[in-house]
Amino acid sequence: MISIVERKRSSGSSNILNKVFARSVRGKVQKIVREHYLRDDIPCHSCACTVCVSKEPVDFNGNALKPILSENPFHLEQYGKHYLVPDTNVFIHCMDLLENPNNFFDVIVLQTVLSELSGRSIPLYNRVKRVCQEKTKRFVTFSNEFFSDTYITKVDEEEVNDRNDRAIRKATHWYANHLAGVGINVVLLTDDAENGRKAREEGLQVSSTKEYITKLPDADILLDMISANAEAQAERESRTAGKTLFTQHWSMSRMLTCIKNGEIHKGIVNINPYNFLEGTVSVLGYDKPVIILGRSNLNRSVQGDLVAIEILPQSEWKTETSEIASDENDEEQVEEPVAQDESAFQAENEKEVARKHILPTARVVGILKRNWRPYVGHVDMASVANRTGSSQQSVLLTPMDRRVPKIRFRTRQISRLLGQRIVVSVDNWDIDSRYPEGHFVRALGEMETKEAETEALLLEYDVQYRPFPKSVLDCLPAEGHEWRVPQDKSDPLWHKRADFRELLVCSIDPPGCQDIDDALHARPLPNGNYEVGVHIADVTHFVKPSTAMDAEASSRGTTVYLVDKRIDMLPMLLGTDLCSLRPRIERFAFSCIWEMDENANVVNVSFTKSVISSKEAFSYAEAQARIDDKKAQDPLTEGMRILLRLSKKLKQRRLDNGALNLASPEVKVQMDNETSDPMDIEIKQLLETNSLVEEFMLLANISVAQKIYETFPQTAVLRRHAAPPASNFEALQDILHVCKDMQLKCDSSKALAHSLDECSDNADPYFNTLLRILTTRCMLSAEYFCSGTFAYPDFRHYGLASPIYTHFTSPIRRYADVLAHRQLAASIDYETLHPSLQNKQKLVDICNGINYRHRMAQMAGRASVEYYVGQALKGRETREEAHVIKVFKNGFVVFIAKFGLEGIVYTRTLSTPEPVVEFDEAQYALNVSIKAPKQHKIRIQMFQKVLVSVGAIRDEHSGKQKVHIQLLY
Amino acid sequence: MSHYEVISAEGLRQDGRRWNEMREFDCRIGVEKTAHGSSFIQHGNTRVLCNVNGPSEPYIKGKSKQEKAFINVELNFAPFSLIDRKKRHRSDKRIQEQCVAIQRTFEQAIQVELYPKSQISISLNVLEDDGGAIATCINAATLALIDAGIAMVDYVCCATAGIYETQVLLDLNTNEESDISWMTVGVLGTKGKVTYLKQETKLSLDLFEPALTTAIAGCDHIALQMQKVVRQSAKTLLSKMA
Repeated sequence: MISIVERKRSSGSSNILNKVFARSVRGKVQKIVREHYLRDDIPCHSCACTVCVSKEPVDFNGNALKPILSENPFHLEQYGKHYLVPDTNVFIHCMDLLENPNNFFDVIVLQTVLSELSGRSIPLYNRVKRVCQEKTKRFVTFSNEFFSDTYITKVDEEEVNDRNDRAIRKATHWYANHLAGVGINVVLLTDDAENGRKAREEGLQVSSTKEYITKLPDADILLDMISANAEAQAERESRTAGKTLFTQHWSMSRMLTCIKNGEIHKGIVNINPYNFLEGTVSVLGYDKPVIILGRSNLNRSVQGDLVAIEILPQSEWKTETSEIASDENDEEQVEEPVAQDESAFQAENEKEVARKHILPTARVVGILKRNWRPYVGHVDMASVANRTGSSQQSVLLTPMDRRVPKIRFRTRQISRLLGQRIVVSVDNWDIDSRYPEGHFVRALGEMETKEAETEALLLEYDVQYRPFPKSVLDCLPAEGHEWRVPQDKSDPLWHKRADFRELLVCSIDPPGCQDIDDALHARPLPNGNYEVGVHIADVTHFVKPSTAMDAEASSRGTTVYLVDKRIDMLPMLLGTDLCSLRPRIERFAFSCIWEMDENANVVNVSFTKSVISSKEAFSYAEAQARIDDKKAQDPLTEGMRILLRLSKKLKQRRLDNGALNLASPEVKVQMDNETSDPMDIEIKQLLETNSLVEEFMLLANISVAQKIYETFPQTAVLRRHAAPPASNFEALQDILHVCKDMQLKCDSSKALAHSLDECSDNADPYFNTLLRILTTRCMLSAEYFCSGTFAYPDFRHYGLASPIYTHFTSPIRRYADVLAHRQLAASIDYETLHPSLQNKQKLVDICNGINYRHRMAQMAGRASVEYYVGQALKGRETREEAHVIKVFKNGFVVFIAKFGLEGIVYTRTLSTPEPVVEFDEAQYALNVSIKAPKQHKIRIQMFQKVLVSVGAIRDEHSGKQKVHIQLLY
Repeated sequence: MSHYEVISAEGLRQDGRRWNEMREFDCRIGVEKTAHGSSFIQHGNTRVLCNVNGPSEPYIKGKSKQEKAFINVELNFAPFSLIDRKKRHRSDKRIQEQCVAIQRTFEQAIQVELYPKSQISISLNVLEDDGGAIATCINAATLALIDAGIAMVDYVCCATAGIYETQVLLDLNTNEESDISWMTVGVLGTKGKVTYLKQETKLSLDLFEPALTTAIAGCDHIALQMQKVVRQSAKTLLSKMA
């Protein structure tokens, strides 16, 4: 029986309704009246309190929440044992501090504070909620606004902020009284002097953040983490006389109105990685991205910011600079020509106007949404005045990300930070400051150590690498590694599960693979056809929707593979054991079974949850050897031969349909087994068995996509790859035409595939591969989407030439597959579909999230390879063949196939004194006349094969070992 | 509004209620002296006024039935009942549909065979809609019918319940109604006999039953409240007769 309670509004009916006047979308004024019930059963969440336990709410299933705050909290001499109540500004300015893993436990987050935060910054609000949910730091939320003892009404002529401050004080007061009996104090953390004074008058224990931190054991480090906003307020006021370097940003309402009128445009700034003073913004109405040149036009926008831009008059349009802002130049020097000599610039400009490459040019007038994140980098030595002192000083951080400007921050521990990888958060960027200002967050460790560099990389690419919180681990099966498929087939877990334990299933993966998520089998049928099965790990049996584990997996989105490390999406227990289809162990699987004829045409397909027992886990090479071994005649090998035969037909059909065979420069770093230091670099080898597995996975994905789209036309999670716009290929087509006199057709994927086959150079066998790599870069990236958001023709996967596609086959390492599993299970009536998978808007959000994570994971993986390639080359100098793939005014980019790596060669490094360089833009060539040691001329053109020497030097900009390339001639 | 949570981790909804808590329910009967029977219900911020006239001779002769009474329902949403001021005409398809549903519900609850060839008209005015307007209308109609002295089998009580992820929520307000899937359930008497069930949003089948039981429990609670008011007014009537 469910007990029903009717809430009564409190007496004094004036305070029970929240009246809000809001402006509707159309600009009308609306009056919104909401009820607000006050209650007297809000628990204090403290383990020390005996009264409140009975007040913890009980949910529909009868589970009550448990108190969280420790009964023996942190002790400080001045405050005794205490809990902390930070006010809103403390969260805004010092969230990094509060998240510090060694300090700040037992924190009470008031509802007033949370709702203020949600109004100020949603990401920050989510961060706070997350810390509260994880429970490891014992943060609790206290719903003071619903509690009759702590609720206050706004007094006439009181500002909202003052009312909220009063509410915070009132709640702190209640806590202090409530816990006085058990000897726990409550300290209000506030940096607002006025609020602090009032609280003291009311007899509360108050502290400012700084004051509090100085009493903590590791005060030095923590002090640096106070935000520049909070700290430098006073100083900034005194500095007002400084000259302004930037124009004032427009007000938000002015920007919004002008965007509506079409006077200005909004878009996301993308900074050129070769030149941080040049950015592009893609804007509706312009088919090419709009460029923004120079510091003052960029007007304090940082990579990824959503900005409002004003298009400059046509007379001021410019071309993209074909110059590389070289990192050895000091920033100042790079900038001067832009600001200083306007006339020279114009003269040069006039020449350029005549040229065809002129682009719409704009300037940033305001920033709609900042994309600041913590940045990893190292202290710029040149900016340090005093290297040993412990007094406070301002220094500059050189971020690893070249697109981000240097960041100024203050520190008292400079001696400890030099040579370290550090993280800095940006707080603001004033109109009179050349650099944004930030505060120190933490040090990752010595530069160039593997640990620090790996962590830096993970942070840079926003990979969630922290260990799984307890709430997630609690979702794992209690049996741990002992979990087994129940032997008794009447067990409810066997319900609607097919018994495939007798099938000769095997898995084929890269060597050493632990998270085996797919296995295959094939056998001839009596009617002459074949039965082919793909069995995928049944992850959704363990990861149920709306659990902490599901939320974590969804926020991680994908497993990230680095050279020496894997950041799992799911806890190890599931990924490498319970879900992994290991050989000779019974495992739950989701099977896709086809009947195929000799020509690999699908006769029919069925899906079922199953139990399998894999007979063997092969590596690609082992599987290949087994198939090639003429003596092996056992049914398992025969099955694999059938698979191989069918897969070749599938592949041929796919290529005939116009699937692209693109190349990406994938290399593998060979590691020394003992020291795990990088030894050598090799290009990944592809065997027939690689393509065997790939073909059947593609087929399974396509079959599943069709099935879930049929059942859920609005909400199926699919993957699409849009056809690249023809303009993406223009540059490449032109280069090909000029340099090689070849044609690239890109009307359809089939035409492209065909013309790629045609383009080859007998003198240079690698040219075709190089071209494929460059073509890949012109493509758009594939993305996950929810079927209701696109029309059916747009579902097409361009690269695979399939009208519909999804990801189903790797649920251990991709969250999209988990969603597809749930939808497929619902479409075969195995279980009902969870409501969150029926809500289109939610799915769109999830898809955006996993697309982002997917992109980041790819980039992190590449950066990791790049780092290790640098390490492997350390102390070596080799001569390699390379190809020119981009030509600039003052240098060119070469691609070294053997290492899958590209690097810049500056013309000024070719000889001393600097050679005279003539840039032949129409021919994509550089004519370099070298004066010494002997006078001669060389010509560098696109696609040219050159001989370079490759070595590694320490890159001053990123502080990493960086490949250094020199031209040999 | 994407960040706003329907129910917080601490188990509190936007207005401070827990999942099994109903908004304040306040009802009166006999508020309109000119009608045969009338009632006024304020459930949270939702306000409904109901008048009942009849049994009387039908206005439209064609609709009168030989053996039983004809029930005519008029439903009127005041233009100021929602946040945006908006006129909703009586010929609005949705309103007509709801009228028919209410009419069918009361055909089962009223002992119609006692009033042959006559008409009973129920006129419902929603003055303010903050969630569960139809539920409140049905409740108000029950009270007004009792006030008019029309013979009924039992009370018809109505409540709403919704599902947020896997949590059941009782008695939704407009904000919650627009965010989650929910249903209106009407129950005849206190034996859990469902006479009205309306669901316009998708709901997973596993969660249907918990939501239904919760709504029925809510109906039972409302039945008690309504009974209290009816008995109170009966007492006043009795004392006047004495």
